[in-house]
Amino acid sequence: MRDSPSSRRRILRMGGVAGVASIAGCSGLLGGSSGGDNGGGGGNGGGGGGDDTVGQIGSGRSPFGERDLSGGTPMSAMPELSGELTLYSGRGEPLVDRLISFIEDLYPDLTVQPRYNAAADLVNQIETEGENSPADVFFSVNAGSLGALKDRGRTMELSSEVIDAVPDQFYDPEGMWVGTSGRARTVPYNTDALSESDIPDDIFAFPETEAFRDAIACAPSYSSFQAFITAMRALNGEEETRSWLEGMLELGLDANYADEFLVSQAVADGELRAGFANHYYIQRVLAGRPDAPISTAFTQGDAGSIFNVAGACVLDTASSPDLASDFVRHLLSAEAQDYFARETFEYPMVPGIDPIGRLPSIDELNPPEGLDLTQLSDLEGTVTLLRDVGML
Amino acid sequence: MAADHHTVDDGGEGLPLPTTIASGAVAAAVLLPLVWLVRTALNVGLDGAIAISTRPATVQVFLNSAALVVVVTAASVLIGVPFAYLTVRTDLPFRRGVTVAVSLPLVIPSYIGAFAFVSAFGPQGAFQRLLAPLGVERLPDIYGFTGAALVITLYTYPYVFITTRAALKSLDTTLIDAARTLDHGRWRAFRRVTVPQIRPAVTAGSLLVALYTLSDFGTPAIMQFDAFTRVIYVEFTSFGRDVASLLSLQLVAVTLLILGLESHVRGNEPLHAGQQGGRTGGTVRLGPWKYVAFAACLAVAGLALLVPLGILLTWLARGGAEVGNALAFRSEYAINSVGVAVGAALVATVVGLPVAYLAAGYRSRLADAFERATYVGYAVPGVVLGLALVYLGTSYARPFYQTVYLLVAAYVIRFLPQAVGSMRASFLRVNPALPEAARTLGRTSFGAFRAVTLPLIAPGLLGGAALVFLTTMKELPATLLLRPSGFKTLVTHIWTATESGYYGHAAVPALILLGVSGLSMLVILSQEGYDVK
Amino acid sequence: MSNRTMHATNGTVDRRTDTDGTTVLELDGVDKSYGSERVIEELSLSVEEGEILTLLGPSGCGKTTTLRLIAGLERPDAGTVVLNDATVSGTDRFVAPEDRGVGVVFQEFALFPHLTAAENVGFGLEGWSDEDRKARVDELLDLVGLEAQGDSYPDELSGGQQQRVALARSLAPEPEVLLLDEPFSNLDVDLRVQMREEVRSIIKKTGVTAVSVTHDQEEAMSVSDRVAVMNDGRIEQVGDPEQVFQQPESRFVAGFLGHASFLPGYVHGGEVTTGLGPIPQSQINGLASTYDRTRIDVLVRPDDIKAMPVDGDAADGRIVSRRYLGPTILYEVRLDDETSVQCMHNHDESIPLDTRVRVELDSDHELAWFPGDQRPAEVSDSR
Repeated sequence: MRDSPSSRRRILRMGGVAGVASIAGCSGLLGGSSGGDNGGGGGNGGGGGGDDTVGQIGSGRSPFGERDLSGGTPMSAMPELSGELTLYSGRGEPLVDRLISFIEDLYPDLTVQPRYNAAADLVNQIETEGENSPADVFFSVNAGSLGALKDRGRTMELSSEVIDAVPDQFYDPEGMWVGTSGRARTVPYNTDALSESDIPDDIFAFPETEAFRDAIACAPSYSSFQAFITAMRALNGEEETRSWLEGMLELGLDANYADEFLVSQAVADGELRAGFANHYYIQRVLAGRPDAPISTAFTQGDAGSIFNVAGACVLDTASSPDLASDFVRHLLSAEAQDYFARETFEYPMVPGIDPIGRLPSIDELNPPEGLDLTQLSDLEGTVTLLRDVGML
Repeated sequence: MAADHHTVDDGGEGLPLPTTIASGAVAAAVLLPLVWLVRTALNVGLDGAIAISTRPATVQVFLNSAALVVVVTAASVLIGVPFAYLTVRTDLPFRRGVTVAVSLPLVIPSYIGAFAFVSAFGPQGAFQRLLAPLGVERLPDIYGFTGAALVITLYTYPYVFITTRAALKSLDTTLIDAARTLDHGRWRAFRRVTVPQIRPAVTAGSLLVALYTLSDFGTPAIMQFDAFTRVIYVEFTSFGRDVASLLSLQLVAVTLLILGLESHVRGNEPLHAGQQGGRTGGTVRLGPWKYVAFAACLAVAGLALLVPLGILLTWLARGGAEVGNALAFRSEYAINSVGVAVGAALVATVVGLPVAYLAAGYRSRLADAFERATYVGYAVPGVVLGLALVYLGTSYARPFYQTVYLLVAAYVIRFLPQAVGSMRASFLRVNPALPEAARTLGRTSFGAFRAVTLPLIAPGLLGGAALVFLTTMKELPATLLLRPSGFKTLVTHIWTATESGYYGHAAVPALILLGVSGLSMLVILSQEGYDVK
Repeated sequence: MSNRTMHATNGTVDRRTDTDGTTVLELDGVDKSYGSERVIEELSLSVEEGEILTLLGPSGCGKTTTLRLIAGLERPDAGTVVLNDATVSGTDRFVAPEDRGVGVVFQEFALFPHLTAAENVGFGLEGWSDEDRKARVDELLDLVGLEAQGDSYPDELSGGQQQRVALARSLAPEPEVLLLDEPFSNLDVDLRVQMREEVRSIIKKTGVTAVSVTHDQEEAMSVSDRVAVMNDGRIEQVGDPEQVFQQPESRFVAGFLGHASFLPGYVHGGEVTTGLGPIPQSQINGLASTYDRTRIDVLVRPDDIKAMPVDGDAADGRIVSRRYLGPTILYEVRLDDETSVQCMHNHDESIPLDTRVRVELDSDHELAWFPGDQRPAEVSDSR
């Protein structure tokens, strides 16, 4: 990060635009995406320039110091890629571009034709193209779009080398898609005001936690917060979700934050004692201010700890299924996983490749069971509910 | 030999055959996307279709959209017509400058406008922070109906303004003088003489506003207003393509209703009005009111222009974080944007010509139907049209799929009515005796068209082309679906940057977009009226 | 020609000049309908070389359509149009307007606003060498007296100048026939009179055969060699102006050309008894003996009679209206037998309304007449 933490914060406050970005992210700025691939948004400035560490994408640096590749399968141990591949990417170009260039540079005979659009639009496009679709691989920002393509019979089973690379819960049971990186719902808390034991590990205990009174906040217009509420509706039903929201509001939940980075900043500043945010926002605060009094807490096995994945699938129209499958496999390579961790602070999917910063490893997380990740992209009922209770 | 415009009351007998065939082919081509819509919508099944169409939520959003269309159209007329009158017929200070300023909001994509308004006037937007020291903690909600109506009006009223101006400029003011000598007051003269004369132009502009409002995706989405398009959008994002198509067809049905209404309202057009050049003397003196009028014009233009400009400039000032090559701006993007927009403008002009010619020169149901058909593509949301062309492209024109050719075709289908409308108005202003005179002087009908009609309608041609150019520059959803892989334009670059949260990188392309579009607006303004020399 | 023709007419003074009797243009049995409306009905007409023929009639009578049919701007539904012995419109033949060699001066002149006067005049000279074209344009601008205005655009020219450019433009390609559609209706009254003379002299100078259209009888009279009066899609009468004026063959023609009063009378014993007293039969044009002891209407023009204020029994009518026509006043006199007649006096002979008058015939030419049993329900009088 080149910006000093204070200047970054001032700018975000001043413009207020980042907040709107997330609103647009969920409601589709420019008539586009649903998911909003702004996980690492706001311009994390890492990675530019510096010496290339062999095998690592970019400089190998991160705000948390240099790190080496450790664990996972390097690309060199994977089948070589050659030929032409059309990639429909619902993940943003600024994120994907360097990864693709890296892979392309590695194999002289490989050409990747990326096509960027909102994930939902790409799903519709692939469906409309039918059997004439030029797409080989679809790279999605969320599991919902992957599931939609699978439901329409447009995906092809991935080879076992691909899906075996990630833990069971992060690929489709039938092997039709695989997660490539993830984001966890977390509770950022101020370490000066609270200790980890003050944070309940049950999300439904929050409304009764007096320690949070008038000092907890969320960003209700942000898509990931809405996905969290959607998960709660799916797991616990409409009524229970409504009373949870009402209970939180009675506790003094401040629902006026525009995005979760601002929530995390406020927690670090002591303006809040705790909040609701995706895991990487806390890491972004820490990246700017390593000594900030903020830490990450997780609930256990409920909507508060859902873990959503970005992932990829091979399409039934792939002109060369092997090439396509091998390409997806490269997204799970040590280099790519390391790249996701460093560039967007996402959780790598492959065990043995650690997330960045002070985060528990993926095996230690306890997301709810019985939740179909592909349902989380349907936010409409949630928006209605949030309006009903007066948060939107 | 004051030739009347040809009346053809039967099925088209008496229309010139080659032009009719060309015009019919264009109409058929622009209606092709409906094939996909119907095909996909049929998947829903009859019972499902009825259930979806009559469910309370559908009815509610339908009413929401209707209210939005009515309010935005009415507001656009209430802003566009007085402003046009002020800038053409009165002694408003700095008329030329005011005209440019009041027209310019059209160059701003309404999604950028909406975005900027939310940033500025959101409950905790820039404006609130400005007022925070005064104890203002929260501004009144800009979201919902008010915000959507405000933003769409601010960025579409120039359609009414521009068409009305052109009509007022070619209005023979001796008629008004005549009315006034008959003891009509100025207001009565305006109502009795001016209004009937400019009504076709006002309704033509209103039609563009109404259909734009009906089909706009971005603004209601950003403003969180439940418009019809938002429901279509929700269906698309939850992968309910079939239902989305069905709802889009309903949108088309509403469009046809509006088209019929406009045909009815525009009434009998003054044929070849202003053929003697249109005398435009007799400036109305406003006295001290001119400062009020001046302030009103500046207030509206200022609100529409300064809010997005201000936001873009804060983005620019913030600069871009270094995020590698993907977001580095390249002049190639501007060249691509201009290239496809010029292509779309040229093609729209060429294919629109027979449609406009036929509709202007013949009172025929068939000719009218062809002309009305061109509006359908304009009223279909870009993402729907884009998908329809994805289907047509992959199924029947595979070699053209994801090439600039199909992309330009999409633009033409979307924006053709703007070219046709402008050309049609120009044709109506040409005295039909002129090409006849050329015929009697030895020119063939094509020769007469080239030597006489074409130079006379050139301003309308250019104005229409500029309008197509300008809207193509702004188009996003169909562009994202149909562009060749790796083909980047100014708007796709803005989209890439904002979608990932790198707003600093969106500022430069957005400002270039506004600059280039602003230039084409100057072309439109310089071509209005009837200055043919 | 007209089915109302009741008597033969003898040619009076022939104003025709430069006519050698060759027929240049002939329409034969031409029909034209727009939708269900029949605009031209079985129209036949022939125009001889070098003459100026005017189609005269009220608006909507089909005269402009006739002109458009000749120019080839409309196709006839039936009948033929023959130009210089070649059929240009017929059952299986239609020559496009550009191939007919017909020049047209349009009602609103239809000057091309984007071209200068000289460019307008040279427009029809496509295919000429630059040199020839320039010479021809100069020649014509000279002819119409606009040598200095060649570089002006139409909107910089006065109405009369525009008229002259239009004339020069249509004459430039040396057309076989020149058609003029209401050529003076767009001009101010003063200019109109002057331009009539000018246009006539220019046309005569070039020797072109011309067909003109107007609803203004004065214009028709002063410009034309022959006049064809049209009504309701048909030609009522063709002849030279004096003949048509003085010996109208139908009540329509009589009424359309100038003010006309129809004086009912009874033919008996060598004279016609009317409300003005007896008129000798010799003063009635060609009144055949077969009409003895029948009722007829005698056409009297306002300048044929005089009203004089008198008292008592000498009077036979009273003034019921008066209209100032500049130097003259037009009076309407209600005769004691309830017939109305119009008479024209100089403006200095003013007679107040309601004055009892005696009306006398004061004419040195033969009067036209129409059989009484053909009296229409309402006599049309265009004035």
